[in-house]
Amino acid sequence: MKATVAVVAAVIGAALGGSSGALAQHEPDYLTRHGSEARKSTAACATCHTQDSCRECHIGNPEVANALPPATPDNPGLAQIKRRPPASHQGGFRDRHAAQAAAAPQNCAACHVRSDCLSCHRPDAGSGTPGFHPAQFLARHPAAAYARETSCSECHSTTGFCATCHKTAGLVSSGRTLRGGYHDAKQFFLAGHGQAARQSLESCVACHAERDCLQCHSAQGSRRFNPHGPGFDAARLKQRNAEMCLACHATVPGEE
Amino acid sequence: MTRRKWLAALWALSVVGPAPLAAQSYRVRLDTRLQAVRFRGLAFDSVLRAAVTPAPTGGLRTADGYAVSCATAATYCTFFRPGPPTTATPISTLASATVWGLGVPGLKVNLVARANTDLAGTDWPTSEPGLQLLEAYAGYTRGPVSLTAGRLHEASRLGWVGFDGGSLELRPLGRALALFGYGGYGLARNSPLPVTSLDLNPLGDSLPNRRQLVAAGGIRWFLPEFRGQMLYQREDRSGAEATVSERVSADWSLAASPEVSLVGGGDYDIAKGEWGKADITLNVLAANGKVKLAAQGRRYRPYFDLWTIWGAFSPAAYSAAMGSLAVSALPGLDLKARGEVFRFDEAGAANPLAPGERGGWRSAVSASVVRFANWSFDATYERGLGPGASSQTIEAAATYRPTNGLLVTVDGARLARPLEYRFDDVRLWSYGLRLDYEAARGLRLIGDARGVSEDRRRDDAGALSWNQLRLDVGVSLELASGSDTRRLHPVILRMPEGRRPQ
Repeated sequence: MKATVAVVAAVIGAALGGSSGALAQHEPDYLTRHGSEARKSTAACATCHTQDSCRECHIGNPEVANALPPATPDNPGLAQIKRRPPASHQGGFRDRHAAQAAAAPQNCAACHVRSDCLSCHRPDAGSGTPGFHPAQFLARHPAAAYARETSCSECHSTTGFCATCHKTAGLVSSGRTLRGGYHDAKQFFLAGHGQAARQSLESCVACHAERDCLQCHSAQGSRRFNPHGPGFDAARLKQRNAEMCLACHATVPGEE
Repeated sequence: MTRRKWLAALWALSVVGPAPLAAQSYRVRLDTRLQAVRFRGLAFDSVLRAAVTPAPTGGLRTADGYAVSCATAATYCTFFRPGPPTTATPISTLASATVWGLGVPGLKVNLVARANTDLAGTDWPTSEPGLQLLEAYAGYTRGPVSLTAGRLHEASRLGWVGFDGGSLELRPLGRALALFGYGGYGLARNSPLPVTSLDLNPLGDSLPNRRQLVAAGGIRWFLPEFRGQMLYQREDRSGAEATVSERVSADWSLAASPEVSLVGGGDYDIAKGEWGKADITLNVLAANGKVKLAAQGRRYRPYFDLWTIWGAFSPAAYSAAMGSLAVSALPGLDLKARGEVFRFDEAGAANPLAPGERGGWRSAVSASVVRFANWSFDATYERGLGPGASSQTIEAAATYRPTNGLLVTVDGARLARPLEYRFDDVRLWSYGLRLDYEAARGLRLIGDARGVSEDRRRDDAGALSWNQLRLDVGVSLELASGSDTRRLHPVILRMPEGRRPQ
């Protein structure tokens, strides 16, 4: 009954000849349940819609439109669908879509294709196109990155993306001895950097190579400061990847 | 890649590109951006300790006024000078194509590639290699089975993982349940390049000499009120008994009612034996959707592959609590507020020589106005304080749409941020003008000019200027079969928030 009323309303709206915004609409929540109703029957849909209506949004699985008639010059369709975000995407959905997208990606796939994700979550993004980040984010990314509000490394390669750019700006420490100079607000930063490093290790590796740290933290050097913190499970890591141990230890600990 | 090879690759793309156009149905998008920028970075320098003198502020500095850092008993002191001015003109083209209707029902082919270079000849970040293949796969769906093969990227709570291989999904109960798996030769995390690529090694660090093998499997369910996914993913270095990663994750969302939902998830690092990130969010809609409330608790822990040493340095996790409120106070007026407090776990490395905080907070309030014809306005104020860094930002934007095809956005921002563990205290103004013009169906032209004016407050000669102007121009061309070449999702993504509803 509701569908019939909606179709009649759409026809009346179209007959009134208004713009798309003035056309009679389905019920506010119809978008969320139109799929199940269309699966029952598309006869009512075909009164106003053609395949183009479906393909406006269903770009990843355009075959869902096959049950409707194609648009022709004689029958362009009474309803002209304009793709737009549904109500559920209002109110900053872009900032909080991650969990829902991970939990039910098939929901997204109804309207989105993988290249949609890539336009923002572009691996190693380099075009500078505003997308996930707001405009001017480059100028203010240090504070956001350092505070670890979001994880830069979930989308960016800390070596290929962060360190490459920092190298161009002269910020990286590669190839130097660790005499400081950059972290100049604290005179003894190098001597007491442990807490800052453990809390913001992702920021450290955006400028520092492994060998920077190994100058003091390797078991084979002269200083041999132990880098392992609370909860470090040496036995487990040795079992899973003994090669990592050999970066600092001459032999795998426990197998000398 | 040399410029000649790059041009050859572009030529090859232009030859291969038109081939799908003859297929029954296709969608092709070319997205090109050109940027011109002039900037100066930092240049590391050193000076004999005997040549430095005490500064009025109590530290040491060079004869020409640069504050220096002198290690105990070191012969030399070190500091940073302004680097030479650098001009760069990077250009990037992202090409994506989807083709279906190839005579086999359910078969489609997808390609996403990017070409980069710097026309000014500088070593612009991420411009090498010149041609990068992000995705190239064929997908086949028939009933409850979907098969995909080629270069793929899978996104999950565990991040982006790319590989050359295949994926399989079975849906034995229709949409309600899916079993899936994928695997192949892996790419570096968040990159279209293999982990062995020298382009991912700007610091000359040690690299694995072989790519890793990726294998994953999971289950996904879709019930009207309860949806979720569980995933197991493992990466092993091929030809060696070395685990790169082994993790599991779970995601779920529970719709208790149309107004109340609970969303959450987490991951566990099997290889290291520790919990990773986790979060749970309660969303509440009230007053017919005019009021949106969210409360979140989350846990954050950085993740590193086991082919690096960083996991052995015991990175610390933090726990956070967040609340947000969004109110549609009047038609066309949206107000939002957000606040979060966080605190790191005990790192076990506190040192009085460089004391640091363990906790912090961040907050933001914003307003969007879309009440006026063809105009919308957005303003945001953010403030945050955390270990080693803080920021205070106010930004505003006005968007004007004189015609359906043209968007003009003017924005400006002021940022104050003491740099992390640095002597600098920076006040930064930024401003921009962006034009987005749909010249014809499927053809968009984009122009963007952005300026940054910086006031770097420090009492020595190191207060270099970072003022700069960046100019961007872009063209997006979208071609598709049939008559539906109207604008699609990527455009929506780039719309300023608060744009007048259509």
